[in-house]
Amino acid sequence: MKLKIGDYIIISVVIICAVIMLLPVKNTGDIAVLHCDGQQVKTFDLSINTEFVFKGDYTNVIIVKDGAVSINDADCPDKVCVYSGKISKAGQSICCLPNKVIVRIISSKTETDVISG
Amino acid sequence: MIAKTAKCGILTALAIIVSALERLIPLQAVIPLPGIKLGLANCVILFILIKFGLTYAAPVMIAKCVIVGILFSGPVSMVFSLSGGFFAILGMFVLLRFKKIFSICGVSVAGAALHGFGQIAAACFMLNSIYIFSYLPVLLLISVFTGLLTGAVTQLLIKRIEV
Repeated sequence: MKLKIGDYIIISVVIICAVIMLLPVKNTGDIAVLHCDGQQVKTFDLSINTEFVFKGDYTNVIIVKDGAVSINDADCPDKVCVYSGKISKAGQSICCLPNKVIVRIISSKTETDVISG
Repeated sequence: MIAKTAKCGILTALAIIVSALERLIPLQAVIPLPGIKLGLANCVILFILIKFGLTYAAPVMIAKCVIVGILFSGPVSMVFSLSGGFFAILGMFVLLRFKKIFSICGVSVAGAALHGFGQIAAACFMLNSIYIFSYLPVLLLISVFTGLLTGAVTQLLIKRIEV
C-alpha cells in the first residue's frame, strides 16, 4: 500500500474536519430533551431519576439515573440506541433512527430554548 | 458493452453478498453509532468505477443499495445508504481523474468520508433535526480506517483481476 501526497491531504482534511467538529468544549448538562421527528416531546431533569416509555413507530425505554440518560430497552431492529450507553454531557446525544428519536443533553445555563415540562 | 453489462451483473451480486457477510461483523456493538460498517461493498463499486467508469458503477451502486435494503436492512437504511453511496461515488469519480495525485487508498478514504456525510445528511432530513450532525466527527474518523482498508483491498483487486 503506497500512499501518494494527495492521499495524505485527504486523510488530514478528514481528520481536521472531525477534530474541528469535536472541539466545542463539552460542559456537564442538566437537562435531557427528547425529540421525535423534529418535535420536542419531553424534557427530563437529570437530577431526578425517572423512567419513561416512549411509543412511536417503535418503543424506547428511556432511563434517567444518577445524572445520566440511557435507552435501556427498545424494540427497534438495530438496537443502536441501546448500545449507545449512558450520556451525561451537554451536546451528547443518543439517537434511534428507526423510531426517529433523538435524546439530547443540554445545559440550562447556556441554552435559551429550554421549556421545562 | 454486453460483456461489461454481464460482468457488472455478477459484480452486483458480489457486492450484495459482501454487504450481507459484513452484517455478520458486529461492529456496531463495539462502536455504537448508526451507520458504522466496514463498507467492503465499496471495494466492488470502486473496482467497477476504475475498470468500467461511472456509467456502470452508478447503476450497480443503486441496485446494490435497493436489493440490500429490501433483503436485509429495511427502507430507512436503504435511503441512508443510497444517499451516502451517491455522494461517495461522485466524490470518488472526481478524485479518480487526478490519478497522479491520489492513489486508490486516498480515493477510498474520501469515498468513505463522503458516504458518512451523505448518510448523516439523509438522516438530518428524515429526522428533521440538525443535531444528528454531532455524529459526523466520529463517523469521519472511523471512515479514515475503513477507507484505507477497502482502498488497500481494491488496490490488490485491480492488480490481480483482469476483466
